[in-house]
Amino acid sequence: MHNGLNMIVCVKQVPDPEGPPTSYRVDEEARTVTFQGIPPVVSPFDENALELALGLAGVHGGTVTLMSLGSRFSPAVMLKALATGADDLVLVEMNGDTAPDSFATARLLAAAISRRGGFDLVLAGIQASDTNAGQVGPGIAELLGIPVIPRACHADVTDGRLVVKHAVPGGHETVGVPLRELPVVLTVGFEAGELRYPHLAAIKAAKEKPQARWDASDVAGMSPPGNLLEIVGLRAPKRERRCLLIEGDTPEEQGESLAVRLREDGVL
Amino acid sequence: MVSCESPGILVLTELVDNGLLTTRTRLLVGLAQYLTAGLHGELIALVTGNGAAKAAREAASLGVDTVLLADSPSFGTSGTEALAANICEVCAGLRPRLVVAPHTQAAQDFMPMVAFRLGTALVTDCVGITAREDSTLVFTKPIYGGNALAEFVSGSPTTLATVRIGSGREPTECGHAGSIVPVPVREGRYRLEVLESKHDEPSGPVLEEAGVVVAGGRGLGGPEGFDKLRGLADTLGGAVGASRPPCDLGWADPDTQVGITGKIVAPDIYIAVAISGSSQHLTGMSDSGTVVALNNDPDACIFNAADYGVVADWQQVLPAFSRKVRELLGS
Ligand SMILES: Cc1cc2nc3c(=O)[nH]c(=O)nc-3n(C[C@H](O)[C@H](O)[C@H](O)COP(=O)(O)OP(=O)(O)OC[C@H]3O[C@@H](n4cnc5c(N)ncnc54)[C@H](O)[C@@H]3O)c2cc1C
Repeated sequence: MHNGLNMIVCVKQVPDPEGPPTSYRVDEEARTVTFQGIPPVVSPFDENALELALGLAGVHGGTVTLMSLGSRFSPAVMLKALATGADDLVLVEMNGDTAPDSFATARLLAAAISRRGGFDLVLAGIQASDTNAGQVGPGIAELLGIPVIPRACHADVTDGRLVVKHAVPGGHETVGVPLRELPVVLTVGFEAGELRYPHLAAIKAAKEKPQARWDASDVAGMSPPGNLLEIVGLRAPKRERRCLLIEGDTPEEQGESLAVRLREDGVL
Repeated sequence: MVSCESPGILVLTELVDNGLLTTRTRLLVGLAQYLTAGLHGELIALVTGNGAAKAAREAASLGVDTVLLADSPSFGTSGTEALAANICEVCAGLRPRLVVAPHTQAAQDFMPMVAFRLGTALVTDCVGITAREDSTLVFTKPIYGGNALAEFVSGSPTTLATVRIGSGREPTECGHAGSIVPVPVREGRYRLEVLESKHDEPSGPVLEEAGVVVAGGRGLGGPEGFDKLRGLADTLGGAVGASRPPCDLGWADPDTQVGITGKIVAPDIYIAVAISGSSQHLTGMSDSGTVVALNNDPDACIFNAADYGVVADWQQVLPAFSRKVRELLGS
């Protein structure tokens, strides 16, 4: 019998994506987005990935390591993630102001994951809520030379196999990977379920869990990866429309008037 | 390995069940044709599929210079690996400037694999690709859940992009048909054992190709609301969509989610029922022709992105609206 899976979950710190559009300010000159009044959080799909890992560890044992690449980490955000049941945390710190693109991010994370070693599964959200790129999970898999199972909803270990149900275009598929053929990468979306909420006591206890800080330039070794993409412009989207509000004495009347108006305007 | 004298743009195609190209593929060919004019290269399409010859002929008739045809049963629904391997093979031979695919779930799965295998840049979910005068390509994509649009230029000789339907254009008549060249089909690098495969029976038109989308949000309060939307969608010959919460909550099929992590749609008419209008949702439907919003909160963001709005309880508005629509359309 195996002793559970050793899992690495990639988590990214982002500004809360559920913040109202008014909290995002686009600075076209500086080509940056600034935020007002929204706290940093773990990118939601990374939380789903963590939940999937914790679920597996809960049933079959094993370890869950959080790994985060970034700068200006919020201790509160990372502690809260640790407190949900992860075993340890590795922060890979970037210096400088240029954010790494998907290519550089995947290369740095793949290098950090290799340095850590001894893993059976790498999990990551299907995309980060700030870049919306969706490349890092499959990128890590390619760089490590291992398969990726995209959009995992559920995972289990049975008969010496990791069994993963995942979303494919137009449906779902269940795949099996013999444990001896691991590691693989799973990317995870909301179908894996919301991250459990940590107890207050667990948040306090999380401070005692092992935390490592690695310098990204050490991790990268001789050849620090540069960005392949350069941002040359930034603007706020224009989607304002003039809305004609349909009035009426009752909601039923409003509904009917809407149909009539759409017909008159040639929409229907 | 296929090679080419003047590499330009490679279009990766998507097929419908009847063996023809999807609308968004046709529009992507149109965009590629437009960009090729400025890049002085050949326009090449790769048609992959099981029984894809018909689609290859269609692509050739759209003004593509060369259609590469990889016809094989290995491109089943779970053929991501096989697709990635074949696209890499073709790219290695052609070395195109640009490789574009429609922004679909499948493309979101195979394009990163291709990009990292080739070591090239990839821009996902592009809402626009333009060529500067010096022929530098500029890729525009939403970031921060659609709260901003970023423009990128790429430093790699080949750049990959997935492109939204709304930024495509109709191909222009060119009067000659391109040549069709069969290419050898490669196996994928990894083979995962498939234990079970479940495909949903499509009901009504495909969401991304539908002319009308009737979408429901958290305010519908439960799965029953979606039955009512289905009734209206059927009357209008449209498809049912959803914001994310109903998909999370199991009221709606996750495949019907509209937004940055769901389907990107641009129907003639988009009817948003009890949807607040988050940027993650709006970015998935803001290219729609006419947007109609039903919401009982007059301050809901959706009204800023709508052409017609009704501020009231949808449960009271929708039946009357649906009835009147049926009456007016005589159905
Ligand atoms: C990384 C990330 C990706 C995301 N991707 C997507 C995505 O692809 N698509 C997506 O949609 N969301 C996405 N979201 C979620 C998004 O941020 C919003 O939470 C979501 O869109 C809100 O859905 P909603 O409008 O249905 O719900 P709510 O915001 O809760 O709005 C419900 C609306 O219903 C109205 N209402 C309630 N009762 C009634 C009634 N009786 N009659 C009329 N109106 C009523 C309310 O006034 C309210 O405006 C994503 C979030 C993240 C973080």
